[in-house]
Amino acid sequence: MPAWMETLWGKVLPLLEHPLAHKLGMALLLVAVGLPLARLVSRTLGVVAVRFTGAARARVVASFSWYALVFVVVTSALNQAGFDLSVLLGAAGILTVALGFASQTSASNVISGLFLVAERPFEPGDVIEIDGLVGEVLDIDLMSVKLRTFDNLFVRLPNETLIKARITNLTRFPIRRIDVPLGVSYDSDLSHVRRVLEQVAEEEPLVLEEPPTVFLVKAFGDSAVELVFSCWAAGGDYLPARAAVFERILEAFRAEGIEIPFPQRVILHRDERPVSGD
Amino acid sequence: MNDGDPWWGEVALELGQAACWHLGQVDLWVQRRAHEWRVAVRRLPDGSDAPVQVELPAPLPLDAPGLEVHRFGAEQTSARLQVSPVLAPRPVVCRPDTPFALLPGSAVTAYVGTPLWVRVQAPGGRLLHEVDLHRPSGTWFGPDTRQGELCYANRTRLKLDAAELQHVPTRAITPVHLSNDGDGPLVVRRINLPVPKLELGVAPGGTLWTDPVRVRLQQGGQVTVDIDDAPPERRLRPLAPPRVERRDRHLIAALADVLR
Repeated sequence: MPAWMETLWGKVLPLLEHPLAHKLGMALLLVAVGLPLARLVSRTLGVVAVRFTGAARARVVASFSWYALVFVVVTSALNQAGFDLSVLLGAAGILTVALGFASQTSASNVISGLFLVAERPFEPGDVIEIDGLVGEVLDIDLMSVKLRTFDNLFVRLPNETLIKARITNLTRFPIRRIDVPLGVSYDSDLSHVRRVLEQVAEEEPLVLEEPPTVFLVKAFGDSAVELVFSCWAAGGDYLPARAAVFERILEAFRAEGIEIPFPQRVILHRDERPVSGD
Repeated sequence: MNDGDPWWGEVALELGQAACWHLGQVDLWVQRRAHEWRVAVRRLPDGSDAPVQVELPAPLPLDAPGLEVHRFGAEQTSARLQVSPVLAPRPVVCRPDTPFALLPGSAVTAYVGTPLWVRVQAPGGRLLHEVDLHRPSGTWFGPDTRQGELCYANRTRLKLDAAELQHVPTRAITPVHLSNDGDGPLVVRRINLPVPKLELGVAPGGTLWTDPVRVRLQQGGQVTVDIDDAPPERRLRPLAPPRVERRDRHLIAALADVLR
């Protein structure tokens, strides 16, 4: 062995025999074994959760368990290395408060995400409406929900806003009601109007036979008797069924001579004087 | 096709040749080309009562108004083509002309014509296309608008006398045995027939029938639904197996699930 190596070995050997080196070695071993194990456990939890909760929630379960296990591994390793955890956790508490103030929004999003996962107001693939925005849910994770609107825009909604907002799930139930607000002239025979509307619903294949249609006189408007006609369609057929019903009603009203009045105004000028014949 | 010959079965088409099936309210053409099948469908207005017939060869009227054309590519088309009737892919809800009450201790057999679909298959059972022959409208069958299932509404009515039922080649007849072993009357307004679980067959006379359905109201209000075998005098030659695998012929359902 060269002399320089002997010198180096002579200096390193006492360091390796030092109790601190042993502790650091054990801590490194814990991290080296613990982190892959944590990854394995969190992925397994995710795979198991898919069967019970669906893919989006399983991802949340997997990532949440991953971060929790990483915390356990790292604190154990630090403990092994000889760090006093009470001091460390005290410092961590102060740090958490500081970080909490600094990252209030992120923390709020994460907590809101957990509530959304537990409450299940919608699933990926559902169509929801939130503050006038309608879109298909692409993904739900700890921080946000991703939507695709029908004009093909990608929208990221922070979970914090979702937890406070009024969400309408448009595809939760298999069938959906189509409401058609209508106005007919005061001269119209309402029983005839009703028969025509029922015929329209009967002839449109996308309209369901049951639940039955509903015909209601809603109000006496300024220029028309205001009506509401309702029929039902399968959720997936809602938009084409609605368009077809509106189109057929217009055609049927024209064919049957039923007038849909539009507002009319008679304007008189105050300074208008009758023309004198003198 | 002679009178009495079935409209379904295998046909042989030469390259470039087309055949046409006039099936009541639907005209169906299938044309064989070297590397594609063309399936064209034209729907006639409701109420059209054209006779059922098969035309071979028949020109494919590509410029006919209202013609839907579907194209299916293949490396090589073969001469044989299978056209067969199949039952609806969803349950079918049917109702009598007017609701009737079945008295306690009574049993009756009702008959209904269930709508058929036509299935076009290339050799090897490869599905090319399916067309409904009656364009049935949808309906909802369930206790409320949250629980239930989407079904088809049958336009023909449930008849208590088989003689009243018109045998139409584009519909299959389903016998429904109703029996009331309960204490009160069994009021029949609508029946949800589990059509995807029924087998379609042809009777010796050439008419299409499904397996009979037996609906029994038991004491305590429970309803059982069974799928029976066809009676010996109507030995059915199987044409299309059930669409949905049925593990058991005995289906138990709550009253709300079958009759409403």
